[in-house]
Amino acid sequence: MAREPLKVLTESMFYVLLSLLRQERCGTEIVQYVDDATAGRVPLGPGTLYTILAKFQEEGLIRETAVEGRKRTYAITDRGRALFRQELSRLRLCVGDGEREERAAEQALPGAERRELP
Amino acid sequence: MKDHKRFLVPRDLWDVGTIEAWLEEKAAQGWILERWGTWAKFERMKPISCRVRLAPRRRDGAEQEEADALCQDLGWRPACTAGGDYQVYYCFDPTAPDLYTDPESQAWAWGKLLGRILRWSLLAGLLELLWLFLQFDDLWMGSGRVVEKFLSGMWAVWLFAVCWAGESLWDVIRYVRGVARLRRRLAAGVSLEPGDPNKAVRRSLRHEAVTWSSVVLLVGFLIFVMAGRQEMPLSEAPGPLPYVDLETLDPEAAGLEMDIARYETFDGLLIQSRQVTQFRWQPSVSVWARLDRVVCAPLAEALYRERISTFLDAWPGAEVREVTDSRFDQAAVIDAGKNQFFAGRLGRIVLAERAEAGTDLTEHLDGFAAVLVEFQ
Repeated sequence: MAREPLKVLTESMFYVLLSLLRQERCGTEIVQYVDDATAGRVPLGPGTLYTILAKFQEEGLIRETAVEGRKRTYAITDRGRALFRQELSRLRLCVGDGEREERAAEQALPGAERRELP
Repeated sequence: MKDHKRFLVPRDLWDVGTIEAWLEEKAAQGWILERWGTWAKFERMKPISCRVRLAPRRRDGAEQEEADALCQDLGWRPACTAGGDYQVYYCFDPTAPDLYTDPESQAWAWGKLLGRILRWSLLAGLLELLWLFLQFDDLWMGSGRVVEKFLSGMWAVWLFAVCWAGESLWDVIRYVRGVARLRRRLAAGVSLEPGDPNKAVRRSLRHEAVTWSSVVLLVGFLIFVMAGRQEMPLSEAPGPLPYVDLETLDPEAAGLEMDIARYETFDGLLIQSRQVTQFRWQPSVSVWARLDRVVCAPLAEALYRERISTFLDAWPGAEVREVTDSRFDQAAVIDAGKNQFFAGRLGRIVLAERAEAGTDLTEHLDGFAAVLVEFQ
């Protein structure tokens, strides 16, 4: 079966890429960063992290930069940055769509209430 | 108090949720996994409530070490490998995040392993079918003495082969179905479903009991079959002998010293056989006779037919003369020049005698009939 390239990132994947935007990090640093950045909202289990890192390497979104004993450090690639930007745009569109609908709903709500009044 | 103990593990390794639940139950009873196997080895510890997870093991040793180190940093202690493909982790910290927190990445992690397991399971199924086919090559290829082999004890081996292969194939089917289901669940982002660990262990226990009982029965049977065989010089054979002897067939040749003069007996469950072999190289003289008492007449009839066809396979141009005689249920004399063959059946008794001597076996029907009556 052909390998399917990544199109949409899950929250965990998004934050792993985000953690590498400014600097190279190893696994534990990534977990720490995501925990801090999301105030514990996005938990990153070790199985999930290593699977994501392996998949990202396979896709060329990140690369390994150093190996010290059992510690490996990763950096984001240009392809990774491009995918991150693409995902960010998608999320912005989602947020924009959501906010627009919410505003419309808020505006429609009082009118609806008035119509129900005797 | 023992610090180590072995427990029978649930049989279906693909049923990951159930195995995790079983290991959690064992930890709550104060046992932590040390080494996986059919009877896994556990080490005693303080009873504790914890989480246990199985994860696909990475094929690269360095990667696996790194993953283990990260797991340890995040509160997951690697215990051991299970079945070569899985790594078992324990987590005693209730605040630590789960091993997999993202269903999609979990599906990736398992996808490759489960795909590999599926391919290997299917290959194993095909190999088992091939093995089963080869066990019965005598039947398919039309070679060999199928009836004789069956009666002499191969029926048990074939029965075992059929049961074993059937059970193994059923296992492969269950495995493939289970793994495919697990893949679908993971792909859909549904968490692994724990089954009843006690039920899974009971199933495993049943399987072990049936397997070992079958093996013990088969080995016992083979020993019984081997013990049922005896061989001795013809001079030491207890009378009466189940054949028309060489002295009667060819008195001149009977005076010669034989290179081989042997008597063999076999007492099996379905057949009792008595066999005489007399052979001289130069001048060429030989008598081979075999009398079989078979468990039932239809099988005796099948054996009679096989005796004839075996002789005809060796001497294809031989002339077959059916004998119509009320003293036999079935009888025939086959003439292949110097080699003559008689086969006769009376009820459950089959007598076959091949003689390479200066005689015509049709002249000795009285003798063959007497042997059949004597051994009824």
